[in-house]
Amino acid sequence: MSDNIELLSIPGKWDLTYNYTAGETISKFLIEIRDNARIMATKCNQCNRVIVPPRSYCERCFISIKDNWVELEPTGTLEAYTIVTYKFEGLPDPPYIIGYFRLKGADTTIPHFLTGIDLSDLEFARKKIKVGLPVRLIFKNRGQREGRMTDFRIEPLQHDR
Amino acid sequence: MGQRVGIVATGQTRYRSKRKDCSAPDMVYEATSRALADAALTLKDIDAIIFGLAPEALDGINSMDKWCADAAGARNKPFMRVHTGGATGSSVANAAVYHVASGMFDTVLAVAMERVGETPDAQTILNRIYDPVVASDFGLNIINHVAMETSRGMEAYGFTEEHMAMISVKNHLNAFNNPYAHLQINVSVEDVLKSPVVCWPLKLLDCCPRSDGACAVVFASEKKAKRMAPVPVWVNGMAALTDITVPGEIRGGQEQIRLTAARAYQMAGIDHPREQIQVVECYAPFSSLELMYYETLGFCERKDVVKLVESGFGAMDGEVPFVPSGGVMCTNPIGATALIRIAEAAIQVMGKGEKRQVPDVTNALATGYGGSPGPGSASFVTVMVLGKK
Amino acid sequence: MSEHIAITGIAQSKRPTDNKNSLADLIFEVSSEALADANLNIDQLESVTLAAHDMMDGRAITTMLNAAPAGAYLKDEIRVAEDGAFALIMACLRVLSGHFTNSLVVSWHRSSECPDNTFHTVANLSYDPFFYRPFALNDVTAHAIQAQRYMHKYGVSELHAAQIVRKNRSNGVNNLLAHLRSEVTAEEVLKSGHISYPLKALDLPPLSDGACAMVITSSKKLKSSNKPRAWIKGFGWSNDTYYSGDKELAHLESLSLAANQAYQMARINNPFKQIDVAEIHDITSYHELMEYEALNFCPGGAAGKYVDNGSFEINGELPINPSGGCLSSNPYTATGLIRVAEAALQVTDRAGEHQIAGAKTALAHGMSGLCAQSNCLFILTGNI
Ligand SMILES: [Zn+2]
Repeated sequence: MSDNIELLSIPGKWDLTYNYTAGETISKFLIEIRDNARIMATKCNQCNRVIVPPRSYCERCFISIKDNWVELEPTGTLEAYTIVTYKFEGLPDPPYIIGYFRLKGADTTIPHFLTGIDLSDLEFARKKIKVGLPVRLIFKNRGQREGRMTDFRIEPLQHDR
Repeated sequence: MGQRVGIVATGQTRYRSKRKDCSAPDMVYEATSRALADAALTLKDIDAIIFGLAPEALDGINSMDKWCADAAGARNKPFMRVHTGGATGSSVANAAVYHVASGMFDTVLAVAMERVGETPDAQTILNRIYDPVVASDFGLNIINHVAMETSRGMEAYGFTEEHMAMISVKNHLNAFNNPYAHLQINVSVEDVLKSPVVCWPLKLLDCCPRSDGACAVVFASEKKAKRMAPVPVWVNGMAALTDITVPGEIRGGQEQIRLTAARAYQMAGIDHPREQIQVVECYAPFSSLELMYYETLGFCERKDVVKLVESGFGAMDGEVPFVPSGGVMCTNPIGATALIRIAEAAIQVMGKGEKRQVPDVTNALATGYGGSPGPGSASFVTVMVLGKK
Repeated sequence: MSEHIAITGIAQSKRPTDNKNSLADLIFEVSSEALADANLNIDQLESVTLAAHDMMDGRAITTMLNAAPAGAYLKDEIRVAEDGAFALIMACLRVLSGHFTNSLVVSWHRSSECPDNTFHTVANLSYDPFFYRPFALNDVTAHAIQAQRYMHKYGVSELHAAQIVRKNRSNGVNNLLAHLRSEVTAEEVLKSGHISYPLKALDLPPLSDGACAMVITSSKKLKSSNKPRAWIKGFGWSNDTYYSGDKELAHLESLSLAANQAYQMARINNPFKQIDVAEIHDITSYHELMEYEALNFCPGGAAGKYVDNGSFEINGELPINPSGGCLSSNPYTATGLIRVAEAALQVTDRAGEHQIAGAKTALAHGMSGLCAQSNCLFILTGNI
């Protein structure tokens, strides 16, 4: 075979529709956010863990914890974070901060964007963000909430303006 | 434990960001045929095949294993595909060991591959590994998860971006000795520190590339292995553990790796890894992950990690070389990556490492890692201890 | 086999699945039920083997999200991307290797999350982009070509296939867990309209939601109990070429090879006489006919005659798919594991309204890939 044969590839694109079922447990959680601006978690009475986003079961004790709800305060701490400065296809335009947040009283964390930080100077921003940073949840107004995790944003508890 | 199982042959493709020269089955064939040639075997010697492929969205073909089955020599033979994300390759190896140890087969081929080059941005697809209902809105992917783990690690272990850069420099240097490695570039500490920040604290040269490639390993029963290979490599210890970690916690991956290694060590009779193991092929696609393995695989205490990095512990001329192949940081065809760790560890025990050979290897260690911390989500860790005896 | 393996726990999802349960909830439900059925505590569980397909689940690594509800926390867990029955093979190999004494096996698919169009598109995406994919091949059209080839080769009629649908749908009425529980006549099948010749709407299975879980235990670790147990006497699996144009489509070669292996292990030499009931993967009605031949229930090309004789009816000599089969319920990936579950229920006299009286030996069949590329087979008995 010749050394300089033209090597071909053809384009392909996946554009598929899926409908992801939330189920009772997640539905209740999202509806509480939408209708009452409240964060509800499930609790395992065997290992005492409070799980949010809630699960209907405890994977450690392997029992159902479906109807054991507890309400969490809309505050918490930053557990880990990154400042994204690269443009990934289909993902938001950089820069932005993604963090894992532990809501007060929860044994698990939730992912979310950390907002309320000026990202025009990334060096400066990095100094302001620390693991353990106290944060609060700020819900959209009632009519704007649609039962998604994006119905609230998370920002530092103390704003230095 | 059932039958003793040995590795008798390995085969790898040349890894590239895009292997434009071959189709997916071609790539599988390249690795498979090289593995057969390595021990002068033919397809007739192979009783069953296990195939590894990670998220097929990366390749753009659903169940691509079916398309590649013929190229793996699997027509009219027992065949199945294993998929545990990034740990796929090592899960394939584990499955091959079970195939042989069950007593049902004498010789089993494990082959794993990925064409990450088929998709413009792997991280777009890797965003879809997270929960579609509660977690998919936040731009999560593997890189930013590791960035978070790294920032926690810096606090817990006290390492700096410079220490990470030292690991990166070492691995890029090692890759020059590996004829299959994807990235073969000269990198200085300065280069790493000055490379663009992808997700702080990870910079471009702290991160693995996206590679096309395939790897194959032949496993055999004790009786056959002794006949097939001059130096059969024995699987003396293996363990796999799925954990549901809490994202953001440092406990996460680190504790899981420690637990898995402890199980594999126990099976292999390893109680002082630093004295008993001469080379490590760990699954570290990012520089920061490798130095944390020094502790979690039992080579030192957490407080000594920085000291070890600074003293060149894991370098080719160091006390215990880590990833003489250049590792995942220089080559990452996702579904094959963890099998490459096992192939490279086996090559070290066989003494076939040529320029990357570590002297006097009697025990080698290979690890695999798949999945990711995330809300309710699983990560998969494997550890395999290979030995000359 | 160096030791015996028993199926000690079985659970299938209840019908109808509704939106009260997320996919993870569905998986947790069957996993915990199977463990309870096996009287096995989560702490005693050593191994978890799963079967699931990412693209069909719409999750890039579906077990990342669904290993937790399948009991995998801090367990040695592995997933096959094959039909559910292959996860049981993996579990058996792990137990036979001596590394584990038990395993939970779980498989699922939720068709309601994956609309028909997506399902068929993904099936089309299973084909290589160069040679097969551009020609509208998918789970329906490729199987139609196979069915046509089979008809052509052996003179089997559309009526024979329609009789299979009539039989299985009628059996499904007695299975409380079946998705479709209504009878259809052969006439209705013939008039149901061609989707892709010769396949008509009713020759095709529904797309269903469902999950299935099973616990297996090594005989060495079995505690005494009065509970009936199904024993795995033999199993086998094999794979054919991907290039469906390069094989004799009318012969399910890899199924024959899988059967040879399983029959040899279970010492079956006359399957038609020695097997009391079979649950096979009727991905289309025509495939069930081809499977009779590949499984050596009848000579090659004789399936039509046996159908005419009623051999495989619920009251025939070898009842096939008393549960209603895939043509009554088809939670895609889970389908093969459900076949094994149903066979296990039969040999332990637990199949309820669709129990075959006195069934002692049962066969179960799982299938992966298009045009029956990969097949696996189990022979179960009620006693060792
Ligand atoms: Zn609990």
